[in-house]
Amino acid sequence: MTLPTQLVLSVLLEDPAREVYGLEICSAAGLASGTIHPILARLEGIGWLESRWEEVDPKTEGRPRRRYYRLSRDGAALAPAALARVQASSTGLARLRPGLARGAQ
Amino acid sequence: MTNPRRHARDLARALSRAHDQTPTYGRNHVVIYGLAAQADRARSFCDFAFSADHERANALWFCDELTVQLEIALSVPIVDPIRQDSLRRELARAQDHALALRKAVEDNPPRFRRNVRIWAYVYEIVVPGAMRDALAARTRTAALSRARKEEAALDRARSDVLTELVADSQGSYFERADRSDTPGRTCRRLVTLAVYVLPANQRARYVEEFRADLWEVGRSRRLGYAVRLVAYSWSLRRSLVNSAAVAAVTRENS
Repeated sequence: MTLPTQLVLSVLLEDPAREVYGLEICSAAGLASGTIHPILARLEGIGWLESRWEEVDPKTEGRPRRRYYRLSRDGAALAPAALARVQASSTGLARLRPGLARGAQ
Repeated sequence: MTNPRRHARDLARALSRAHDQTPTYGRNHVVIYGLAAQADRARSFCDFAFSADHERANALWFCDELTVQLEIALSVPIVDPIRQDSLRRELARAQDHALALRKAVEDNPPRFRRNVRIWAYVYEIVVPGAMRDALAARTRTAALSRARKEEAALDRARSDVLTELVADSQGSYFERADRSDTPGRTCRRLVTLAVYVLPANQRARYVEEFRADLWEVGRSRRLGYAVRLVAYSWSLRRSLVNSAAVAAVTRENS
């Protein structure tokens, strides 16, 4: 599992029930734009993520609707263990990115 | 202009010779170094062309040729796996650049004729020299020395062209992007370009998603955000295609 994937999962695991949109994940994970969409697509592809369109009228809101993501039941169950395994094999990672350690707990 | 197919054939022969007759790390390293230097140059061209928005046909030709050469190089076993990974990344980037340039060439016919002479300098003098070095692959020192000289020459050419373009345009792209609260035309076109490579059934979704993200990004960061979306579009495509393949296999097994 790559470091960006770990960071994205950590952000999602902070509150598995909460829905977040792409830019929010970017900011929280400290990743560059563009890098997270391939990760989100992979996680969605394996069934760890669910996504849906925001239920607003773009004309009323005056902005395009967002795409919200959150961990699926499988993702919420499997992601913490996967992160823990990766972190066990790379002890230095938690020192570099303290947020990772918090997310895995 | 040199024939790209002939170059590709020559390079394939040189690579085969390097592998079959002298399968040493040193020889292969020099050949591969030549390709990596060309890939760096392609990136420079693309950066430059992206700012310039003109005269990309030659850069497109170069990127297409580089793609062919990298594919050939990757078909030859290389001792160093790190170098092989690096070439794979370069191939993905060259494909990205070619895609971006092809779209741009279609959308923006050349407007600044006077820069043609600079392109001529870059392609007729700098690039063939690099290819000769890659093909000759005699000594590492000579190839490195030549590449360094060419990099400096290219930097000068880029600097000249950018100076001219700044003088030509009414305002930089960054300034133009900052004029409005809504994402500008350039950003919208970049989003369109970013989804161009995605599977057809996913394009509508990602256009809307990217535009929603752009809307939320600060004005000064929008252009950078949109350019990065383009840069990672192939990566997103791979993820989507792989996910679809995994889903199909899962369906078959269930």
